[in-house]
Amino acid sequence: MKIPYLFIFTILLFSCNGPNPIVDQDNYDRTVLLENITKNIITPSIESFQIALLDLNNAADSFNSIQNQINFSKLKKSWEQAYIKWQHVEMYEIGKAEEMDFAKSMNTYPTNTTIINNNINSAQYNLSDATWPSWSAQGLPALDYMLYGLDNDSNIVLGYYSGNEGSKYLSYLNALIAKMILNTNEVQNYWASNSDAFINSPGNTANSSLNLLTNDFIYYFEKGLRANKIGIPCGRWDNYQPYEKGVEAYYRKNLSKRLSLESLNACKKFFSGVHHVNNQSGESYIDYLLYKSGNNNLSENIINQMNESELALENLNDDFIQQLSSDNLPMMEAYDELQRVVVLLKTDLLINLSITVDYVDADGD
Amino acid sequence: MNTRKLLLTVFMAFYCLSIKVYSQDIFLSGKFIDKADYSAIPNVKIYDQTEKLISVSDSKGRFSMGSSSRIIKLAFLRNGYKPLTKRFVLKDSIFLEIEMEATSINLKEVVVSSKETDPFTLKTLKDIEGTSIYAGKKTEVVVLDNTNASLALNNARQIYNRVSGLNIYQNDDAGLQLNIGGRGLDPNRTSNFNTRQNGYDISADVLGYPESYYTPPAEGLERIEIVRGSASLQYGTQFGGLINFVTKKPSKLKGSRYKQRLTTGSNGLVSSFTSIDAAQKKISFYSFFNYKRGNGFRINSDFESKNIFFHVNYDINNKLSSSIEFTGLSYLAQQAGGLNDQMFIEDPLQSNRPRNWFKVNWLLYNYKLNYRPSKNLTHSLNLFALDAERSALGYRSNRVGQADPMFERDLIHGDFNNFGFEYKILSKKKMFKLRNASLLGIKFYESNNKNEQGPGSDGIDANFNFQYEDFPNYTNQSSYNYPNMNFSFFGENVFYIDEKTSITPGFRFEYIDTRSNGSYTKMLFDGANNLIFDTLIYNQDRNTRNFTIFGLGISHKKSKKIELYGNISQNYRSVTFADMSIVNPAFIISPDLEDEKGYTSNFGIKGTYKQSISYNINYFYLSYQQRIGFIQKLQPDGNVKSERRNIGDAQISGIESLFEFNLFDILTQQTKFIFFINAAFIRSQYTSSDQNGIVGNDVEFIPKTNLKTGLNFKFKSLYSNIQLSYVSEQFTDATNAIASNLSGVNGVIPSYKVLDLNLVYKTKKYSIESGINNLLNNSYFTRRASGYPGPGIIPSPRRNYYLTLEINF
Repeated sequence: MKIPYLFIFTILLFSCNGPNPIVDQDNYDRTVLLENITKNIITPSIESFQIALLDLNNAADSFNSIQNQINFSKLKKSWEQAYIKWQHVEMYEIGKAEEMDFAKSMNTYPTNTTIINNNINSAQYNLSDATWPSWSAQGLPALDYMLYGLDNDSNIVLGYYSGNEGSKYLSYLNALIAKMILNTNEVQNYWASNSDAFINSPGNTANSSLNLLTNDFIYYFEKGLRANKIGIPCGRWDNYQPYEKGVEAYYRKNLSKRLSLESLNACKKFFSGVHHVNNQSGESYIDYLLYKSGNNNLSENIINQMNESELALENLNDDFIQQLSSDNLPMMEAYDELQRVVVLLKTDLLINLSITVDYVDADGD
Repeated sequence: MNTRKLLLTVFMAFYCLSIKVYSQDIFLSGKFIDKADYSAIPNVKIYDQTEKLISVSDSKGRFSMGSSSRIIKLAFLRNGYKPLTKRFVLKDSIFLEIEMEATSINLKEVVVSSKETDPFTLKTLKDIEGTSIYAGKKTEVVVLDNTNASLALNNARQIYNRVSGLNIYQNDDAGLQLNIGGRGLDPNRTSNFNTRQNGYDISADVLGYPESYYTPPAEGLERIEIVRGSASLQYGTQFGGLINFVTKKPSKLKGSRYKQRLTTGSNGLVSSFTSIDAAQKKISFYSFFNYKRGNGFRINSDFESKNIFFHVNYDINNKLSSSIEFTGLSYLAQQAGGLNDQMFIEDPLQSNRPRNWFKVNWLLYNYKLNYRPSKNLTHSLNLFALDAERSALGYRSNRVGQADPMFERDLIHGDFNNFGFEYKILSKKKMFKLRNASLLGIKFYESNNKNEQGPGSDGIDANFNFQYEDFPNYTNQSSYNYPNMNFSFFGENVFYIDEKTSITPGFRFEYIDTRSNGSYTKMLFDGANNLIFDTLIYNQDRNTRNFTIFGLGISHKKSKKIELYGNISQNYRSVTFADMSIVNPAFIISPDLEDEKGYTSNFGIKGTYKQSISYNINYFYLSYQQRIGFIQKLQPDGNVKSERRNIGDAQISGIESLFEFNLFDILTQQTKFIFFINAAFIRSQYTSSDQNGIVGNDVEFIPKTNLKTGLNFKFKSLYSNIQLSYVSEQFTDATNAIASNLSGVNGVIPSYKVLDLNLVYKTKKYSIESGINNLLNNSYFTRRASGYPGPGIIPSPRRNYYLTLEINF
């Protein structure tokens, strides 16, 4: 009769919960970090892009009344400013922006000139479709084509707008700008009314604010910056066959390096909590990492590697198309530097902050 | 009482011979024991040939009596056991052991006898049944006839209402797909159970793809047997344990019987169930055909299903019997897709997926041979084969709110073929004066499965053909073969260390060879989704391993009414085919990938009190180790990839309980009133993980409280059930996300309550069954699907009705 009790005791022994594990949650106040990023980085970045779009709209208004070279170059200048400002906005694919595929509708490139020409000629199009054909015929890259790509000669391009068919071209140009303004207003409204809720999300779950934000940031760095701006043009996934069409601002030509540098700069400011407007520093990932690990080693590594990437980008021709045709190697080197940042972000940063990655990058490398 | 007397008279008349009566000079004593598990049988009545009651066995099954005759005939009667008469030629006073056979050996009789003497609904398995050992394990048996549930609708919430702690996905109103999970394991397609029908496997692939697309219709079932975690020794893979669907069997009475059931219900549901059973001499057969059609409770969810089952039994002689079974299922269902939280709040029954389809064809073959050369030796041989396919076609973006753009659809086709055999031998003998029963078995299993993914048509019809020529650049293209071989050798032994206590150690040796070979198309796109590069990548992988798991069960029957049981068994869940294949270059598989392993321990008490309370309470602890997941890993070439590997451990523990109160006792069999409460309380935690941020979190899909309670009322031929189910909130991912996202895939599943009401009028020839499910018309959901049939929230049916007519002739 004693044997069964011994067994029951054994079973009981196996049934006891193990020692409490060291949990991955911490007491760091994530809302402070979220507040700095939301109020001093995200919101002002979107607002200054919004202002740039209004400038663009004003320039378009003047161009609508009088199609001359002065108005045309003002229009092109304000488009360029908007494109630069956009580099600070694209990574926040959160909330309304995610819901409406903000980034895809604003900056899908290479733009599809066949669809654009069809749209212009038929005047029948729906810019609200959530499909690739729709996205690749609108946004900043579509304007790139409309302003620089209709012909190599700027006068001939201007001729499209002032000629017999001019109203068709003007109409599509206006539609593109109106859609961008509409999109941006929606996103700006979202942040205006949701930023408090977004900040007040201290948890560490897949849908907590800092988890979403961190994943978006890394995804943007990996896809929006590393792959789209450098990797695809230099043929990283196609045996380094240069792919000129894949260059951002392909028709404008010498803007691509500027945009890449601006994008990297936006990432650096995001990571180190630097305010969009006045370059002051606030609570940032650096502080959170210090709280977690007691040192700044990883933060320094990340910033150093971002600086290395910046040097590699600086080293490139202002016009990536020229760089690709003359020497692809510096592009490949820039890619490698950016990839080293990705490694730090995707493994070390996420491990240190106990954040789970929530996306799969289909590039595979 | 009259029946018993009549029986007695018959037996007496048959055996009675004129026997000379002497004066009492010989003393006869002995003990009654159960033939199956050697337990003592109290209250056996001993009659002499004059029908006079001579003696009754005591609580330890012992009796003693004097006899004046040297040759006597005695009859032994006991409820629940076959009547026994024996002739004794006595020389001296002796001590006899008399084995009696429980009527449960024949399933048909168990039901009959349980109806007479046991008012409670949930049964458990005996220590030994056929060639299986259940001593010391937690077993639950649902006898379908006793449930009065919505059988035509396969309403799992009702059918399993006495099975404690089950988490059930409730997302179709006709029960085409059973989704149940126990002890905090994912209910999706019942894939954490080892799923069998009449003892053989019915899931797509037991090891590599354990999803059960076919489960038999409740109308054709006799009972459902559930053995929790410790089933791993006799049945193999899965932490959840065994679920065995036992179909109805031919009654072996000469002639033929025919049953027709017709059901109509909400949302255009029409169901017909026809069964026939017949017997002639040594051959008997049972067959059913089930047809179902309906529009579903949402738009875009029409379905049509046909299910046929055929069983022939041939008793070669009284020691040898064999049977053949064939099962066929074919269904086509439209899938309305998933919702995100905002859509669910706006209109939980909406659908924006008008052209998603799902098709299943399932064929099962089985041959069984049972050989019982002596009462202490039973052999069983089970040959089985499966030939099945499933196809899923549709647009299934994670942007569930987005309208279907009407481009080409995604098509996934799975083809499953397997065969195998299981041979078991059960022998009972005495060893060192200890009674014991031993079971040894081997199982061989070989499968060859195929999975293909590619472009489907851009139309709206259920066209399950790949359209490679029209859509060569379709993103997801892969094709894999999965050959799988498994050999196992297992044994269990029940040692009865005294008449009340048994100890059952067991082991299982597994050799598993899982292979995958195939290819996927690696496609790279520029920022505007134009294809810039594509190539076919070939992969093959092989994972061969062998291991042995052990377990131990213990049972102590304090009396016929109270049993204490406990057990501990190792469990494993095999690496699945999905774990072994790469369809996307962003993934790699760790070369060290292993099966998920762990153990379950369990102890409890079950019994009855004075025919008025029945209870079964147990505590379980499940240690789930080496769970498979992903981590981000730096590769030697400087890239970061998602590596699939064993990432960590979790523990799940809880209390499962069932109480049934027979409020209105059996004084009159006419009226019965039973109250039941089935409650499970579960806790869980990730104890270690390489995945960031989840250590200390709860395990997903585990409601902390899972409650079902209700009243069953019977008056003459009228039965009524009212039942309330309550499930507390549960997480759906390891990070324990509460808020959801655009896809609706992650986030909490809120708690829900559902009330069901049934009314049944039953006679031998006719019955009318009706009911209202979700009487309170609650909007709720039980599931956030990561892929099919979603992704997203899959809503549960609102209030719905049904009416079934049954005729027997």
